[in-house]
Amino acid sequence: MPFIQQKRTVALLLVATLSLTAIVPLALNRIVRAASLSEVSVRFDRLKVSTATTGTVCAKPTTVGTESSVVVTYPASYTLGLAATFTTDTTTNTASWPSGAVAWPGVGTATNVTGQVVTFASGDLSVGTLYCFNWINSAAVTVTATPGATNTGTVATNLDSSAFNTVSIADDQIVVTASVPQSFSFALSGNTDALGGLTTGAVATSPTPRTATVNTNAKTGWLVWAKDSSTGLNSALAAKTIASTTPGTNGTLVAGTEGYNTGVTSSQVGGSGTLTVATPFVGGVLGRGSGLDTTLRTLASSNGTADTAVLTLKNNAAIGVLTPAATDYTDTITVIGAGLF
Amino acid sequence: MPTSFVSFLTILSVSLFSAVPSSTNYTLKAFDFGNGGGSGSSTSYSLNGMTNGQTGNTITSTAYLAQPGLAATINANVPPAPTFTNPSSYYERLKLVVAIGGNPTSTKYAIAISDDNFVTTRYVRSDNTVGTTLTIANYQTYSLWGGAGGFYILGLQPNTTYKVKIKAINGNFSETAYGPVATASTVNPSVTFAVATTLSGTPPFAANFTSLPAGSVFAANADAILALTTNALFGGAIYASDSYAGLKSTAASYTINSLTADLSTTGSGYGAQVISASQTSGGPIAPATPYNGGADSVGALATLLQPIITTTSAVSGATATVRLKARTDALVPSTNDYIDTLTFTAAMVF
Repeated sequence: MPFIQQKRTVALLLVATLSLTAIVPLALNRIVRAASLSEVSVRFDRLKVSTATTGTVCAKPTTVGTESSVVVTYPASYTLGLAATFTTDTTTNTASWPSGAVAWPGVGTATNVTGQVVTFASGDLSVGTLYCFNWINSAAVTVTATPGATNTGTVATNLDSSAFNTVSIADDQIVVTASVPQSFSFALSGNTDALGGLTTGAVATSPTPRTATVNTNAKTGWLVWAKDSSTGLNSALAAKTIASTTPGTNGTLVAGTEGYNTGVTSSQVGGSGTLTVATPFVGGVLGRGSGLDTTLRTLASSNGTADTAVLTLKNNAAIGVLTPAATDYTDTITVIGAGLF
Repeated sequence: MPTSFVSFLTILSVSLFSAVPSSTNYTLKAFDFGNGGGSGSSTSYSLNGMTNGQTGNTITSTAYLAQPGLAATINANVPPAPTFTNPSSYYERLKLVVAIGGNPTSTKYAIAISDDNFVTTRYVRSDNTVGTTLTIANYQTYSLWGGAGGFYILGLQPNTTYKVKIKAINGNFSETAYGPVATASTVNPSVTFAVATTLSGTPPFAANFTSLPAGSVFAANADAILALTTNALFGGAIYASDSYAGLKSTAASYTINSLTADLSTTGSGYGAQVISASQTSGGPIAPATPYNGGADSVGALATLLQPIITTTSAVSGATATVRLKARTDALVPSTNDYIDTLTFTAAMVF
């Protein structure tokens, strides 16, 4: 460029500069913006329209300086609560924050809400570090009533600013339901119980006690009942019944005194239920129990599920000197169980 | 000799020695044309020509420097309009490919940018961000501006139309005027996200374990279908939470706990697994640990949001399928009121 032309250009530039002096500030004010945050994210914990939500704000500053505030401009038509509702923390569920995020220093409850603009205090931030904080009161923000993907806002410190976007949808939830079917198992370990020869000198008891085992997922528990066919040990040949000893009452047989009863002990591997032997049939001591009759009587019960609940049934008998001799004394005991679903 | 050149030499005369040719007003120091000059002659004609003069005699004084040659021969060419685009729905950057306009590789270019038709002009810095002043450091060669692949101007505002223009320089006193303007626009940051199930595309959404007898692993009768598209440069995540950290029965006062486990070897449990994840472009999306197991391995659901799908970049047309599985043992109370509510949300890092 020829020199004179250069000088002319310089002169023109000077004139132009002077003449623009008055209007440049206006123009700069119009376009001057903060630098961009290098990363920004706002997570709304609920996306369903018209739903109150908590959330998380994250940002990574780019400008060296001293931050003193963070301003979140929520999307238009999101409903905001008062500043006092914007309570925050930096400790809840931080594992779900974006990778590398750290707690935003100096953040507290919002200091101001004006329109969609919420101002929080902020401590000084380091360039290149991603900071996050949660707003933990769902009363602070309610998602817009309109489904859409143009819900734009900004996160700004006093140095940097960037836009974010979120979405509002008709429903963000799936309701999951399930049914667990009923199960109940009940088993007797055997169907005979030979007491052997009875003598006046001792109380006879089951040499191999039969067991009744219950497994069930009945949430309320289960019951086991028993009755017998003869309300005692009956001999057809002798036309004699060694009568059940006081059905419904717990007692202990004594050698030499005629009697017949059933005692129960229990155990349980697992389950929520507490297994209880009915008071009349509590066994555990030779000859202790209650007689059976032809009416079903509760042997034991539980108030919850059962894994291998075992009732051990011991039948006890004693004779007196006048008890007729016979080899056909017999009784048939019926044991049943049921779950309370 | 042009008048301007005469004036130029007049100014210089205060520091030059007298030489031939000369007058009272001027002295011409030398006739050489520098390394680009040359001459030809015949019996009838003599032609002197100059293509470049940078190695000719240089004249200096304490106040002035006069370099040889004509400025027009060393000026860079005015760069044509660059290629200025937004190739991938960017909201904070635009791609620029400098057009060299026949300039040599050593030519440097300065890039002016404006969002108000150059009422206010800013300049692209060597770190590809935008600054308020133009310094010599902001002049870069075509190669440093990314060559044919171009580069991204960073730190722009979303949803804004920008104009750029470029000037070139070969050396001192050789800068061109700005070339033609090219225009491109950023878009707003965006995310679209949708929830559906394999049974229904519209809410309310439901999934049911019709029956959970003990000892086997069952899948719910519907999978969750999650759809995501975003231009978030740093990607983001889809998060899931549930109401009870399990399937809860009020009637039984019991919860089938959600857990991270292989249900085929677990007595009782409930959880989620991502059984497919794909996208049309970008991403990719990927299941987050522990929801990335196969077969009967599930991840625990919790009342606090957990990332279940992640992507580290913008993605389009992404779809993930989430399956719910459960198993009970003999002690899980029988009832038909087990319930849980899954919540899905998505958050992007812009």
